[in-house]
Amino acid sequence: MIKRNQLIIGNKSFKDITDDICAPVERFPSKGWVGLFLGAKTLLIFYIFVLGMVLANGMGLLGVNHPVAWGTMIITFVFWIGIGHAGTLISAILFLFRQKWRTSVARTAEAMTVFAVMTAGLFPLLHTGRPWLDFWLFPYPNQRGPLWVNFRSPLLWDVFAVSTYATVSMVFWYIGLVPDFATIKDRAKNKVRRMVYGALSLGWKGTARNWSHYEMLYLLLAGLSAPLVLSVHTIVSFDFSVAGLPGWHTTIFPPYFVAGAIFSGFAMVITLMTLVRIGFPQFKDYITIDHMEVMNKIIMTTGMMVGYAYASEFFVAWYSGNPYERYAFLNRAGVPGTSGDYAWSYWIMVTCNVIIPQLFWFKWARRNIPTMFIVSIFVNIGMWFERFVITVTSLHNDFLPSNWGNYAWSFWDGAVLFGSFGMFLTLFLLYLRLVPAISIAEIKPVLDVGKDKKGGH
Amino acid sequence: MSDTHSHHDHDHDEQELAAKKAARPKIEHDNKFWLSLDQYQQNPEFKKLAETEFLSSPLKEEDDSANEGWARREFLKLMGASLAMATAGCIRRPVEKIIPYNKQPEEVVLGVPNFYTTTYFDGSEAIGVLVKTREGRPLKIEGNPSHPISQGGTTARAQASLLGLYDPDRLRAPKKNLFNEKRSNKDGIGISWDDMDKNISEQLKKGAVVVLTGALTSPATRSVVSEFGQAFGAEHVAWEPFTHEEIREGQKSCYGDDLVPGYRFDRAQMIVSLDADFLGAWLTPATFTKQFSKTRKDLGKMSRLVMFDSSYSLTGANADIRVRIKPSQQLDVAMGLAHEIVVNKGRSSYAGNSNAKSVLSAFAGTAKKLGIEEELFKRIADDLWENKGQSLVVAGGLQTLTADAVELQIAVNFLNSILENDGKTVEGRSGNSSLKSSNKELLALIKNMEQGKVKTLIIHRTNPMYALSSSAGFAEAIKKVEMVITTSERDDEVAQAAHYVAPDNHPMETWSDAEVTAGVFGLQQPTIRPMYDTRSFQLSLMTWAFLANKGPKRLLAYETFFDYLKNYWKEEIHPKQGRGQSFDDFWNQALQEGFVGESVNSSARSFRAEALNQVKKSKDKTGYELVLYPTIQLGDGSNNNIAWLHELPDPVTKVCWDNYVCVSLATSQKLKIKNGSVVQLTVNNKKIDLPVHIQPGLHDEVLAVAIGYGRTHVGRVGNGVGQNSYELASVSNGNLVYSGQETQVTVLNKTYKLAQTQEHHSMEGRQIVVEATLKDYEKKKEHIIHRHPIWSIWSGHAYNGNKWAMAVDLNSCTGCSACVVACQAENNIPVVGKKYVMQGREMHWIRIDRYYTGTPENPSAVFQPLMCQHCDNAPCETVCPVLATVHTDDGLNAMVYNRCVGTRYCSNNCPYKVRRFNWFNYVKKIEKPLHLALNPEVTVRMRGVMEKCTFCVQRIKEAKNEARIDSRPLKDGDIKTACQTACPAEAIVFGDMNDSESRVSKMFKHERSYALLEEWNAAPSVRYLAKIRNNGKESASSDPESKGGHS
Amino acid sequence: MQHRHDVRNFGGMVFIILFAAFSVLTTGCKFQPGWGYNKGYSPEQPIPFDHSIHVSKHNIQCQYCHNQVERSTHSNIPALSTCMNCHMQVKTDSPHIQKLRDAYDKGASVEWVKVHMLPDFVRFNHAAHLKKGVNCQTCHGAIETMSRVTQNADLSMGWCINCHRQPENNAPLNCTTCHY
Repeated sequence: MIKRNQLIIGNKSFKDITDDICAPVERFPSKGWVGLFLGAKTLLIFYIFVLGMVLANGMGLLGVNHPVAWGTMIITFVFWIGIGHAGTLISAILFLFRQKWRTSVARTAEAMTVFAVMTAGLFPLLHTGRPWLDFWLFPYPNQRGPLWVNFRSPLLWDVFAVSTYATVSMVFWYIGLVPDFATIKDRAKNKVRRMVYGALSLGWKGTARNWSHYEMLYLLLAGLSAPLVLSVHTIVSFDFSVAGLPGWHTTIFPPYFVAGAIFSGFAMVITLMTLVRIGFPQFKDYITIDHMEVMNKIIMTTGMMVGYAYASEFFVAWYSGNPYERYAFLNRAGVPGTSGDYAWSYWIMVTCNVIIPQLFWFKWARRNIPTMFIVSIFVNIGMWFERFVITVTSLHNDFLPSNWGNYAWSFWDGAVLFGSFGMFLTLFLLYLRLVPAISIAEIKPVLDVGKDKKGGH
Repeated sequence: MSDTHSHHDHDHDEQELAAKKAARPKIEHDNKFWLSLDQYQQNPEFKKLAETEFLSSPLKEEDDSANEGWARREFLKLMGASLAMATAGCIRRPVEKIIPYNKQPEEVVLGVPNFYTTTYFDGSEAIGVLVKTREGRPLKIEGNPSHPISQGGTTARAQASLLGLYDPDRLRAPKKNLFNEKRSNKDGIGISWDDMDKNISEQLKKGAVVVLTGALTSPATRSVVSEFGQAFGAEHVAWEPFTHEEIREGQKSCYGDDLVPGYRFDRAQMIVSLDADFLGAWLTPATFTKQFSKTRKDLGKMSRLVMFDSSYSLTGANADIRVRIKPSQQLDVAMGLAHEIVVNKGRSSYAGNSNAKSVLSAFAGTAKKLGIEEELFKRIADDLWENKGQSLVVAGGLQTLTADAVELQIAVNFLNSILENDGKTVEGRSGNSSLKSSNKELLALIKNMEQGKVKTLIIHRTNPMYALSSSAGFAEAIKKVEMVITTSERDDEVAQAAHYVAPDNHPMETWSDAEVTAGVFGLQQPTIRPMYDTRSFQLSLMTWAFLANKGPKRLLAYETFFDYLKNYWKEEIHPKQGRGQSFDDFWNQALQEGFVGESVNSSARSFRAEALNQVKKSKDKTGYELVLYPTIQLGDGSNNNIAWLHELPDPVTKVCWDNYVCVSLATSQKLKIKNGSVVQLTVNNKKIDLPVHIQPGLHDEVLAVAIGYGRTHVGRVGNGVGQNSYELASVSNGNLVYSGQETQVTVLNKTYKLAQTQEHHSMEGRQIVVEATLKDYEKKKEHIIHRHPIWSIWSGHAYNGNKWAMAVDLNSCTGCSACVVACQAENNIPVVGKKYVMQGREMHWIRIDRYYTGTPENPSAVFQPLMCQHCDNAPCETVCPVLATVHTDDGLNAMVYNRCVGTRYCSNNCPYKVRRFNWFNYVKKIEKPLHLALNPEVTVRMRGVMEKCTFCVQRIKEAKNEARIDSRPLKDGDIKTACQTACPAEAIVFGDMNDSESRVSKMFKHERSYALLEEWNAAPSVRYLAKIRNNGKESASSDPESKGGHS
Repeated sequence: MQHRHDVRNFGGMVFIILFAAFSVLTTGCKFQPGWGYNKGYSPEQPIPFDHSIHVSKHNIQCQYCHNQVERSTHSNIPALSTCMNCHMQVKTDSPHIQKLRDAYDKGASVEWVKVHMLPDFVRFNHAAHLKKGVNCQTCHGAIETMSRVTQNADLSMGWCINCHRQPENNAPLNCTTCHY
């Protein structure tokens, strides 16, 4: 049996752990953090302005048109939802599988999930023609007969899937936070802090009863959210696969989307974790290279799954003998004889998602912070383009050549895309300041993992 | 609700109302509407009433659509808000007022349209139309089915003329221009009619008056003009861009009568057209399309159309055999055919005529010289002969106005005579003698003006300042005229140079008549009271004569032109056409039917052989030749300010909002230019920069440019759209030459994006438009269509009652696009403008797809009107999350605007991509009084909702209700969609599938019928009838793709 | 221990009650008919026209004034000329009638306040309903007894559908029946 490395290095005592993890919350923010935060905040304000403009003038500002009626907003929606997957996977599924290494990254991954889903959730609401009527998508008693929603429409399934996912992952995250909030409350020097964190900790006493309820609830929530990891992106993929469009109407979509989601999610975790390690050096003892390596392995695996999906799509297109399907995929790859207007996006996608992650076959690449950071960035880009390829390329050339056309990319498309990062980063940076980024309560039990009997080396 | 509360609310509403009143667009001229004759005679105070009445008549939808600009939008907002705020408490809709009539006009039933017969004249064609009005407001133009000539056919321009009535850029009052010495600068001021009339009548007394008009088809107007001429010794010159003078001169020298003959395509089995775009923009397209389509319905005796085409005209696109030529070759082709028949085959009475032979001999071996497939050329000649008496050769239009335009006409007449077509397919007697405009007379007039021989020039319905090449020197000459008066309805190019602008009424506001062809007279009656302070041209002339107290007493006797007209008909028309009716009956019948009389029968005329001697073989030219051609959208450019027409894509090039130079593929490669690169054309040192459109099927030495664009003073829509290519015409020996001029091309280092609604032109081997040659069809019958085995696990909808469906005969459809404009007019479809067309956001509910088949050197084109297919298994319905698009129990795919939140999922899932989305709040852009053109029966869509063809559900409702009210069953043909009524080719048929006898169910059973993307099993309620080409070949075309089916 | 237990329960209770109250506030009114609609709307009219006198007392047929209702989608408000048919002689001394008369002589009209207002995207056809045998009262209530016209039904979509749904009416239930 392979001896596992220590999950936490540097011979920490329980007190050290508490001090280290609470430090960012209690210390005055570093210049770096303030800089980043101001940047993110400015971007967020810009984002709000952009969404305001789109709301005021109509979707026409974006590049969506006829025939490409879905664009940046849907693409970016799927992108962020995908990002959201790693968190729940780590916290729920790995928890159920008793993967002890998860503890160091779970909290931050979950936080990322919550913020990603919040960011994503805005898009489907705002991309409608008349957002002020979005509440019609929810079945509620009304005086129109009553007039219900169309339960056959994948978009409606989306409404339920996403809202459920958002709720559960948020609750799950918060419950996990309760004991730590209590810790911070107890350590708090001034009254306000004491009150705020006191309220947040819901009067946590740390009694045996508290703990037993807590454990039970946490387990239940883990069980509850585990299936969601699969269901959400499955249903998101239905938006496409249930439609009849060549390039959309594909049975492989659910697993393909879930794999892709986990892929992109872990990539984003890596991106953020590398930054966290730089921002808060003391975390290096908790989020060790080993943690990063494990996640890189997952990235490579899921990356290859996605690659397999790409390949099989082409096979099926050929095997189906359906000329429309065949054209759609040849066109994606830009084979001569097709318009191939968006081949570039397809090849960006393949390069970023399939080829570059292969670096992780090499141990040094898996364990080298700059390398993994760059790779993760590429994966993020690649995964955005995956959704671009699926949405735009399939729509722009479909059945009747007479209405083939291209996406009319505009300034506002870019603004919406980048603005959404403003929202996400602002939330994430606030989180790093106000919440213990690693679960104090959960890290302590795994302190001894990998230590030999005598303690120390 | 407690009283106090309601009171409180009431006050609150009062303020709200006041606010709204303020926000409400003031319609200054509304007082001009006459809701009825009674009201017409009301005292001035009635205007006050009329205004309020218009703003909120008892018709809710009516007046809301009347100020669509905000009312409905506000409402829908409110709707959204109300639902959102419902929690906060109940909200009360704004108070609305109902202002009933003072006296009930008995012909007006609120919400029930009245139809009035009238005539639309576009300079060449007088189309009999019905104008649909509601509460005295014209809403839609329909063809008049009982009209003997146009027989219910319309053109895109006729359909769009409605928007011209409500054009905000029309002049609203008379105007005076004060010029500086050199007439280089002016200052426009308003002036009262009285002052203007006084000054003008004084000036007229000086004599040397010239009345310059467009072609006057109205007999009464002509008589006013001639009597005005007697009064002041005024000369009458008629000119407009399409003079058809060459035809008249040809006729004169061949047969001695100076007229445009009547062409009878419905009698022709073999048609050869030399650049005469008779299905598109030449002479009387609506009528011709009607006639032509009659010969295409029965495939047993289907006509054959051969087109020698130097632009890629609509007729060329519909030709069974299309031969690309350049203008200088037209004469050779005509004479070559004659040579083939007379000399080579020794046929016809001229076979022995040595003179004819000697003339023809110069044209031996034409086919070889022109590089036309000799076999083909021979076969065409043979076909002509074999169908003699039933064949027809035509030539004409700007494309043929080369230096030897008249010679071409003579050659054509010669052909028709030797083929014994004259008197059968070419009718001299029933020709139109009213199209009298002339280039020569205009050029002569210009000379006189330069020499100061003209003291007063009155210009009516013609625009030499725009449509005449500056090399003719009109602009300079006009400065030498003491006083220029124009009746332009807008402040156009002529109005810039005129001292007085006496704005004419819009044709829909004024009385007139028309001599459609010899023996057939149409009436033009007003369908709305003049909206502005304008006066009809005829009344102006009468008034000036009256003030000067000169001229025959008939001219001075009447106060209105209506009285004059009626009396004229009494004295001139009634005796000839009356058939013993009393005049009142005669008059009422004329009003009711819109016309009187019938076209006179014709007989063969003897051809004057000596005419042939005028025809000389001109030496073969090399190098680029210019072709100027009118488009079906803008024609001569006189109605250039109508947005509908600018947004209407050209049926062949699919480009809108611009003109451009068409070059062949080979030429583009030779010059290394792409679509959108800008080139400079030089014709007799006149230069013009134009973007390039690569047009497959052009002769490699042809540069084709559309006229009708590049106006400077037409209005905010048309100004500066495209380039004015009239400028390229030049004057040579006393006549105007348009096409066939030598042209130099210089490629500029510039690009200019054209807005094209269809950018991919091949069918990619998919079965989209099924096309077969007649031979193939006779052999294979229904097997020309690749059928797919389709099965479904679902039994489908049950349709008790009706099941609406539509059949489109691709073999009749010429792509003329009248349906597109008709649909736009009927369904309040917004215009989005060039910028957004380029972004793929045009809103047309029905579009006409055009695909090329065959080689890029000379492809043939097929057209396919595509509207919502109202699928039984509609993919859009399943994916809409809010049930905004659902299936009705009569087979419609309903689109519920007020439920739509705009996810656009339906559009994505529509395999035909026929759904349109309101990306912006287009209604906000509707400028008054354009909002009056909105159809109150159709909801105007706000921003953010999806829309699409509804099968004109409002017309279905109307017909059903009519049937219900007079308790009779609905019968086939009661319901006609807007596209159907507009179609001059009767290609579109709408009806009930549950009635096995209905035309549509018969067409569905036809062996040529197929559903688009059948294998996809959306089960559309629209089926197409395969296109048949009678080109005597075996397979549809050299292009395997066009046979469709699977790869 | 016991004590704390109670407290927690109490807190839960409060929470539940608050939540219930909140949801009633936010959705409750949705169940109430007439919210956001004009039911009971009875504005004052420039001339207090009294249906009860004209219809109930003097037995004038509805169609005498609303004479186009059988042919048109709209039930027309009578032209002043219609009123004057009788009021040339009848009750000429009443100030209201004089007001009417002045308007008539001036060729002006009367600005009645619209009572039954449907959204612009709803198309209701009077003629069709009459033909089906629906009588005025079904929608307008006991209009013949109203001395001031009051909106009788809330005219909500649910209200329309409710009638169209009844099998015996076999009325169409398509969206396009009213929306196009």
